[in-house]
Amino acid sequence: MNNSILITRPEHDVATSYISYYAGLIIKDIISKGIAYKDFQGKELIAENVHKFLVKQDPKLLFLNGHGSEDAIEGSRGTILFSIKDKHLLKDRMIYARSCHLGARFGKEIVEKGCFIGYDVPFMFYTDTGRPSNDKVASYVLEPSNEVMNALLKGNTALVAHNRSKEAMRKNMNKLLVEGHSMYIVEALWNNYNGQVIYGDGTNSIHNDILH
Amino acid sequence: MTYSKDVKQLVKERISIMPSNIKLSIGNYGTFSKEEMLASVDKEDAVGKEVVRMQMDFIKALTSGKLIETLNNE
Repeated sequence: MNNSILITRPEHDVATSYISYYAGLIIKDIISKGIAYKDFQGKELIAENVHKFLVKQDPKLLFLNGHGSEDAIEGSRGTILFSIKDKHLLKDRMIYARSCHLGARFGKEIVEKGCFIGYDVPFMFYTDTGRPSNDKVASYVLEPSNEVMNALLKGNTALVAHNRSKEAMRKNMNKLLVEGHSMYIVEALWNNYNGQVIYGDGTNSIHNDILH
Repeated sequence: MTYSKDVKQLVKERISIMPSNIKLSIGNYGTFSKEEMLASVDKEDAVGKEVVRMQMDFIKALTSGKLIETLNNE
């Protein structure tokens, strides 16, 4: 597989604008590390383009953001990017999908030698300001989800990355409970904490393939 | 899934004490204000059911000790 990262991040409503912003923070880190990547956004984010990129460039790591279901993840508004029938394109790759429900079926079924981290529940978060760059309430949930990619980019295995993210969620839940307010954020964190799943070979990492 | 009047009331009380400006993003369903969450819980529509599920999962974890046990593993 090729030493590059594929990122998809639609941005057409509140939820996708927030997760796209947080994916952007990861992209800054990818750039600073000098890792090759392709960031699909907007009208470019359709199955035809992304599948073509996968076949040509053969990236090991996929960071997928956007709305999902048990069977498929969306690209640009309302279009299907990957469904279970695309297993042949995905089965040996490392995938982190920040999306609803994909962990319930899609993640289990598409993985062979690769690894899938995602959620088998709706991915939930509260917002406060409506501006992702300045929303402390949303950050309690979205920063821990970024920990999956942060850990992978440091060369950790998928299992370690999954656990680092869960550690960050526990840390934020503890902090909020000790402070004694914002219980509603803890509820959303608990939802995502229990719903974050990993399938496939958790020893996969990008250490030898992408990091230099 | 249906839920009792008591559960519905409990969830609505918990929503009512949230800050007025916050909204809940529930993936494909959208992003909802307090008023919209309360209306959905009342109607028992898909959004209301997700809000109730999330809150009841949390309350069960809190009362069973599962939440504290999990957080003590930090």
